[in-house]
Amino acid sequence: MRAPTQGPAPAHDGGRRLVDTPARHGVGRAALRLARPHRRALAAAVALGVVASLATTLAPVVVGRLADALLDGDRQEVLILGGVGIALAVLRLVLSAASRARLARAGEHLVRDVRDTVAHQLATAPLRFVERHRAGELLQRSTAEVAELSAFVRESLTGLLVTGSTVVLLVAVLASQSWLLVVVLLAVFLPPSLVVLHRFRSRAAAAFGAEAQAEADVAAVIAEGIRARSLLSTAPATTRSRLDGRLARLNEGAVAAQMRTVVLSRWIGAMSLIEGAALAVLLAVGSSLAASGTITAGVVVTFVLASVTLFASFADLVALMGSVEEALTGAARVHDLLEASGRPPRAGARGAVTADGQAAIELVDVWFGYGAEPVLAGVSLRIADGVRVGLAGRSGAGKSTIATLMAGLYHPDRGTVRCAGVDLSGLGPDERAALVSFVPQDVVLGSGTLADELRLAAPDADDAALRGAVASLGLGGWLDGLPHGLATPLGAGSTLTAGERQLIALARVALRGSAVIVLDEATSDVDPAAAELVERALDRLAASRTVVVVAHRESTLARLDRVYDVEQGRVTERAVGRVAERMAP
Amino acid sequence: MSRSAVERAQVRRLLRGTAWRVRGPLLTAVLGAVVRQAGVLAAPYLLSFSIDDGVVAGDSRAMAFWCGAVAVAAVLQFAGMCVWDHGANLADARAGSALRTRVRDGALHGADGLGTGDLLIRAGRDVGLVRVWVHGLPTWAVIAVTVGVLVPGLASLDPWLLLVAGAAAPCLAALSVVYPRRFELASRDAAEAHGARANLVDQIVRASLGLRGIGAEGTIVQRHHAASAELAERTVRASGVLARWTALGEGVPAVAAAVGVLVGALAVLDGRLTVGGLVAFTGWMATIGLAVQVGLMRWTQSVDARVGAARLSAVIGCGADIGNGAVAVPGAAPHRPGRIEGRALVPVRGASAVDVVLAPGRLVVVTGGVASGKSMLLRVLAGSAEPTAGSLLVDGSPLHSRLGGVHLVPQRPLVLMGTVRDNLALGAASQDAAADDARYRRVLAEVGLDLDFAGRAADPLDLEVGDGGGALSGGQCQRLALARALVAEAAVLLLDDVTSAADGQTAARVVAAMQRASRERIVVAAGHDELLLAAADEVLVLHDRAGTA
Repeated sequence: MRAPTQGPAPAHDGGRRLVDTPARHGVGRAALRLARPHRRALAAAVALGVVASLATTLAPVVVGRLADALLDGDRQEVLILGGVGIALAVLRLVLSAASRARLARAGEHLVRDVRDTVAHQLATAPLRFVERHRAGELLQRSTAEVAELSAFVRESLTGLLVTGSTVVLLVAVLASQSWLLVVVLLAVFLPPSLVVLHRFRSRAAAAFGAEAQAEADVAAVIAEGIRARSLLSTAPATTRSRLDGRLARLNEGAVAAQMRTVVLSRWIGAMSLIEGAALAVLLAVGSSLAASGTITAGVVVTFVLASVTLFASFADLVALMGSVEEALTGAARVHDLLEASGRPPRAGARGAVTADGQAAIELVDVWFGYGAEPVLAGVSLRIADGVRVGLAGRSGAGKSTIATLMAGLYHPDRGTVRCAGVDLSGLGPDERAALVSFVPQDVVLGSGTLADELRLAAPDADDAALRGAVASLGLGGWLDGLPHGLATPLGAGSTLTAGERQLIALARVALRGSAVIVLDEATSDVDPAAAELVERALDRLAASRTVVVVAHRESTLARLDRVYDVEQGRVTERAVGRVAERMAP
Repeated sequence: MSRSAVERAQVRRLLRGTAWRVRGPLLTAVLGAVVRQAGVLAAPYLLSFSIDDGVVAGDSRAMAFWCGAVAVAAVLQFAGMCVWDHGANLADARAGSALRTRVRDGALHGADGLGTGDLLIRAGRDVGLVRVWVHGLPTWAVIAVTVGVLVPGLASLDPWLLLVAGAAAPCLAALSVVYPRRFELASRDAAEAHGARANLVDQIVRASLGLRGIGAEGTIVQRHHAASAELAERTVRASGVLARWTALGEGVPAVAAAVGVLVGALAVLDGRLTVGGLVAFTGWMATIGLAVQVGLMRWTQSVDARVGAARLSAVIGCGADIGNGAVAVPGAAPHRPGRIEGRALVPVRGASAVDVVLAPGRLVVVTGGVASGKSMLLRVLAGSAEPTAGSLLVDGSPLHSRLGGVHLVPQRPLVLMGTVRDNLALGAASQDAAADDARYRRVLAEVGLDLDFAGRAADPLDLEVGDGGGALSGGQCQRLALARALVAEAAVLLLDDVTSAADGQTAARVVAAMQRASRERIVVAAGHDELLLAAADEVLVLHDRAGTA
C-alpha cells in the first residue's frame, strides 16, 4: 500500500478571479479591436457629425457678415446672407439627426458584439470560473454594466462628438476672423473656468456620495419600519418614540447632506460670472479694435453670438468628461470579465479510443482540488457498462466532485477521465454530452416554457418528439396533469417543486440520448409524489444505460447494483458480506 | 363619480399642504428665481445697447458703461441662482422628510391590504415625484416673468419678430409633446428586449451545471444571440427617435432664429430696428426655446406628482391627522385569553382535523412531517389566519377579533437592525434604562444567548445584529425573537421550530425556558426534535395529505 503522495500544484483551469477595480490599460486597445469591423459606419457617422457642427459654427459668421452688410446698406447682400443663414440652420438640423442616429447605430452594434462575446464566454468558460464567483457579481457585469456601456455610447458618445467638434471648429473659425480676439476670449474664460470646474469635480464625488449615503440610510430605516410594521405597531410607547427620534435625526442628516451639495454647486453657478466677465472684456476690446479699424463691427457681433455657444458647449463638454470617466470604469470591468473567463488553451489530447473492454466510465489516477488542498488524491475507478451505481458518503466527502468529474464538467488536475474509452477533457460540449449527461442536485430552469427547456437538449425536436420522450419515462400522466402541458411557463411565479424540476431534467437527458447518466440526487423539498415519479423515470432510463447516482438518502441505495463509499477523497466499494477491497492506490 | 372627486380633493389637499409646510424656503426660491431670470433677460437687451452705442457708434464712455452693466447683470444672475438653488433644495428636502415619515406612520397604523413592496415604493418613488414637483414650483414664476418681459420686449423691437417667436413656441411645444411619448414607447420596447436577454444570461450563469450537463452550451448561446440581435434592433429604433428629437429640439429654435434674423434684417434696412436690436432678438430666442422646454417638463412633473400624491394619500389618510408624530393607541386594550379551544381544526387543505385545548400550565408541542400544516396551525391559533375548516373558541366564545397578548415567533423571525437591546426593547421598555437592561439580561440567559454573544461584544446588549439580523445565525435570530416574546410577557406564546438550529446544550436551555414560561401562560411549540418532545406535557401529531405523520 503506497503512502499517499502530495498532489501536484493544481492546474486551476478555473481561470483567474475577477478584480473589483481593474486597471484601465488594455481597454483602449480592446475597444479599437472591437471597433474595427464597424469602422466604415463609424467613420461615416463622424463625418456627418463634423459637417453638422460646421453648419452650427458658421451661423454666427453669417450673422456678422449680415450685420456689416446692414451697416453698408447693401440690400441684396443682406437677402442672400439671410437665406444662407436659414439654409445652414436647416442643414444643421438634418445632418445632426442623421449623424446622431448613425453613430448610435454603429455604437450599438459594437456593444452587441461585446454582449455576445460575454455570453459565449460565460457559457463555455471552465465550470470552476462560474462557480467561484457569486452569480450576482457575474450578472452585474454581463447585464447591467454592458447596458450602461450601451447607454453611454448612445447618449454621451454622440454628445461628445457633436460638442467636441463644435468647440474645435468654433475656435478655428473665430481665429480666422480675428486671432487677437480669440486669444483675449480664451485667456479670460479658460483659466478661471478650469479652476472652478476642477474645484467642483474634486469635491463632487465626496459630497454627492455623502448625500446618496444619507438618503440610503433614511430609506433603509423607513423600509425596515415598513417591513416590520406588525412588530412596531405592538411595541411599547417608549421604544416607538425612541425609534421616531432616530428617524427624525436621520432625516435631518439627509437634509443637511443635500444642502452641502447645494453649496458645492455654487462653483458651477460661478461659471455665469466668468461668462459675463468674458463677454464684457470681449466687448471692450472688440469695440476698441473696431474703432481703430482692425476689424469690422460685424466681427464683434460674430464673437458675441459665438461666445454664447462656446460657453454652453464648454460646460456640456466638461459634464460629458465625467460620464466618460464612469464609462471607462465600467468598460474596464467588462474587459476584466472577458479576459478572466477566456479559456486557456487545453493541452488535453484529443481522445484516442482505448481498446480495452469498454468500461462506461473510468477514472485513472485522478487528482482534483478546489484550492491548494486536493479533495481527491489519486482516485481510480472503473464502472462497467449497463450497471446502476451509487456514490455514498457524508456531506463534503467529495461525492458531487467525483460525479462532476465523471460527467466531464470539471477537468482533473492530474489523471484522466474516460467515457466509453474516450478522454473527456479533449471533447467539445456536444460530443461530451452525447456520451455522458449530468443532472444536478438543484435544477435551475430558465424563464421560457417547458417545451423551451426540453428543446435545450434537442433544438430541432417537434412537440410530438418531446411528448414521446416524456412518455417514455412514464411521465405522460404528469405532463397531462399540468394545466398548460408543454406550454407551461416557468420562471418567476412557477409552482413547480424541486422534484418536478428534476423530472424535467430527466426528460431532457432522455432527449439527449447519451449512454451514461450521472445524477446528483435532490435532497430537501422533494414531495413524496414527485420522488416516486423520479424513481420510476430513473428505472426506465437505467434499463438501457449506465447510471451513476450520488445518493443522499439511504432508501435510494437499496435500488442500486453497486455502491461506492466516498470518504476523505478515497473511494471504497461497499461489499455486502465480503471484505472491502480498496480501489485507491 | 363622487369618489374620484373626493380623490382629487384629497390630492389637492396633500399637495397644497406639502407646499404650505415649506412656504418659507419656497418663497425665497421664487425671489431668487425672479432676480436670476431678470438678469438673464436683461443681458441681450444690454448687449444691444453696447453694440449700437459702443461698437457701431464708437463711443468709448458709453461702451464702458454698458460693459459694466453686462457685468452687473451677470452678478445678479449668479446671486439669484444661488438663492433659488438654496431655497428650492431646502424646500424639497424638508418636504421629502415629512412625507416619508408620514408614510411610515400611516403604514404602522393600518394600510392593510398593501404589501410591503408596494408600501416601500410609495415611500420611495411616489414621495420622490412630489419632491420633484415642490422643487420645480419656483420655475412657474420664472416662466411668468419671461413671458411678461419678452412679449412687450419683442414687440418693442419689431412686431414681426414677435410673430416669429410666437410661431416658434407652439412648434417647440408640439415637439415636446409628441416625442417624449414616442421615445417612451420605444424605450419600453427596448427595456423588454433587455429583460429577455438578461433572463438568458441569468440562465447561463445560474443553471450552468444543468446546461452543461446536457451539452446545451451552443443552444443557449444561440438563443442569447437572437435575443441580443432583437435588443440591438429595438435600441437602434429608440436611438433614432432620440436623435430626431434632439436634433429638432436644437434645430427648430435655430431655424426660427435664422428666419427672425432675415425678418429683422429687413426691418433694419427699413430703419425700424438697429443692429443691436437684432442681436438682442437672437439672444432672446434662445431663452424662449429653453422656457418652452422647461415649462413642459415641469408640467409633466406636476402630472406625475398628482399620480404620486394620490397613491400617498391612500396610505397617509389611514392614520388620521397625526403629522406631529404622536403615537396612536392601536385599538382597544387587547383581550388576554385564558383558555383556547380548537374543534375539528383543519389548518391546511388535505390535512386531517385536530382538536386542541390550550391553557396555562402545560407545554404543548405540535409535530408532524413536512407540509403537515404545523406553521399554519400556529398562525390559526394566533388568529392571523383562517383555518380551512373547524372553529376556534377563546374563553368559550368564538373568535371575533385578533387575539391580544399573542406573540408568534415564526421560523424566519423579523429582526430589526441595531443592537440586541433595540430588538428586545420592541418587546418591552420603560423609562428606567437600568431596570430594562437587567430584564433583558435575564431573558438572554434564559434562552442561552448570553454565552453566544459573550465573546462578541463587551456588553451582549450592545451587539449589533446587522441588517435583517445578518450578523447572527438563523438559530440565534430565532432565540432573540423568543427572548423578545418572553420580555413582552405575552399571554400566549406560539413558537415555530426554535430549537432545530441549536446544539444540544443550547436547545436544553431553550426548552427549559419554554417549560418555565408555560407555567403561567399558554405555550405552543412546533418542532420535531426529541428533546422538545420529551419535555412536552402534551404532544399533538399532525397528519399530512398522504396520511403520514
